[in-house]
Amino acid sequence: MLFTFSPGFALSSPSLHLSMPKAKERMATFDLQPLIQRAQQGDEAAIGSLYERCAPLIYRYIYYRVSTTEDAEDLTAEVFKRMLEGLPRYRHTGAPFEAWLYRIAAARVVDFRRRQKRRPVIQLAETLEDSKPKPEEQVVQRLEVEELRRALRQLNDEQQTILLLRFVERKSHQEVADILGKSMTAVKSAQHRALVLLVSALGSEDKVRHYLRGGGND
Amino acid sequence: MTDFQHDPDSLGDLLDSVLPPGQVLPPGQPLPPGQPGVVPAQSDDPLVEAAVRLANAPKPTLSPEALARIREKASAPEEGRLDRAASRLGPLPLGLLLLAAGLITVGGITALLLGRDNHSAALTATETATIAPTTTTTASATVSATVTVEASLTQTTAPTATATGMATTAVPTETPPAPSSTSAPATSTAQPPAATANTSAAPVVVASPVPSSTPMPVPTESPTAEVTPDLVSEPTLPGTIVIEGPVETISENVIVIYDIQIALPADEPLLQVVEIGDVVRVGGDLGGADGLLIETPTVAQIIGVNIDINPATGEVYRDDGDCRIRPPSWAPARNWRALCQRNAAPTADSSAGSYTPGQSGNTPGVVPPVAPPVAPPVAPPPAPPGGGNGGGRGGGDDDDD
Repeated sequence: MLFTFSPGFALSSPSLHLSMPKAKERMATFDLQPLIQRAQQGDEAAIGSLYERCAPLIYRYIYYRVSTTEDAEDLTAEVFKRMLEGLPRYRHTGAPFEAWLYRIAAARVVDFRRRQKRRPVIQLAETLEDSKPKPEEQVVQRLEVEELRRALRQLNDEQQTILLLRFVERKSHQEVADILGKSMTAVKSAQHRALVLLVSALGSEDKVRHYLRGGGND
Repeated sequence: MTDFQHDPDSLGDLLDSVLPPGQVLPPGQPLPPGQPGVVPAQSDDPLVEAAVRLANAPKPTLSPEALARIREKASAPEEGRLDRAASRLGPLPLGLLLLAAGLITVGGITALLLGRDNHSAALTATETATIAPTTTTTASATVSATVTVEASLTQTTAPTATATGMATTAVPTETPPAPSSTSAPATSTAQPPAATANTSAAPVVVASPVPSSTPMPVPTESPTAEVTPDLVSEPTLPGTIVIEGPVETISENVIVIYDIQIALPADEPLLQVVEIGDVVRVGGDLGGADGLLIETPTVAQIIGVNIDINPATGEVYRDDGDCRIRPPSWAPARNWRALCQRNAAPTADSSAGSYTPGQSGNTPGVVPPVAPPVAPPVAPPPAPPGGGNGGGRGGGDDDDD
């Protein structure tokens, strides 16, 4: 069975997407199983609903891991293309549906980076969509995000994923463990290492040294 | 100053208290009822501070236009890789690509073909045969050298054979019937896909003109080319093939490789020493009575085994390289003593090495000139002294990085 997005499903209520309330995004973590089953049966509305709920999460995840919004959009599209292709074969194994999408996304990002190594691109200036603060605040925000993205990309794939899921998506240790198929202890350990590296990548070397020494004596 | 050293657990607990999971709120905002505290704008702890920065950074959101763009990209039908390649290359280059893949696949095999009387004919047979056996084994590749293979490119008029530089006779002809005689010539001429051009997307593999009773590996897959037995009548040019593979059975002077029966001359020395499982290379003319593929081999040798024949007595010595049998005096030693006795355990008969008892005289391993044609039982050779190359595989296979 070949699934496609119904042409009208997403734009039928544009206002819905303009706001995209946070509560709705968080619904993606709820039980999606009935929706998934309907989607597997070819219910276009269910497929559209899955897309609406999961696309922002996947886009955010990818956004921090690539350089441009265009790349983030392209990769998000690739993820959902894979989702459509793989939906008939998807079987609920107890792991959240998002876990499957995050895994697809992680693989797409890795593949994208591999391609980028062969074909480097010039990074263009980024703007954050939907953010409408004052221009000077916009600049500050953009710089902040860019610095974080740059620092994050110095971590390995798993570390990036853990930090993004934990602090951007605000998922619990257990949720991250479920998504990654790891134990909670492993997630905490990796989170610890990842944060140390992130601090270092953010340029706070002295803070890292201070931290590693136990603080206070410097 | 606060002691910032944490273990992973304590750090996790601290982060959970500072940034409770599930809360996506701007910094400084009070948490909802039941969730005491506020999202901190910053922290003194560098690790917590980094986490807070990440949590408080503006989140990229998708505009409806972006959402629609992504949806359209995700919904766009994706052409298959082959289709994309075809669209870039066009139909003829794709056909050439497939043909080249076939040529590469069996390029090494075709070198085994022996063109004897008519080199151009053999070349034609060789090159054209390379298309067919893309899904078959060595044996099939060499067998299919007896036919002419032509690539039928769908909806194209240029014959592939011409494009690849094969000697062709560009005369559109209908496919002639397969020859009924087993002495059918293997010489063939590549023809353009005219009368047999297939308009379907999947070219058809047509039967090869081989003796019907001969077991033949049949090409079953690779719908990439059309094989047409288009023979030019030159009955004086027999096809010569070489088959290389493990001996499956031995019955008198007939050995079977890949289910292909090959009759060796009754006085063929190889018959005296060949064993089941030996990799044998046999070459000869195609066709023979009683369903034999090769009746009079011109090449017969065991791969990886040294065979020496005493020209005076007809004795045959087989050296498997495992130090099992000592070379007779008339056979070349091939450094046997140094290789096989250097590391042998000292025994009363130090010259015996790993000599196999039960052999007569001083020439163990020498078989009489007329050996029984029945395959001897194959006993596992003893491990060579000092270790051989068939031992442990060593580590490193489990590297899953």
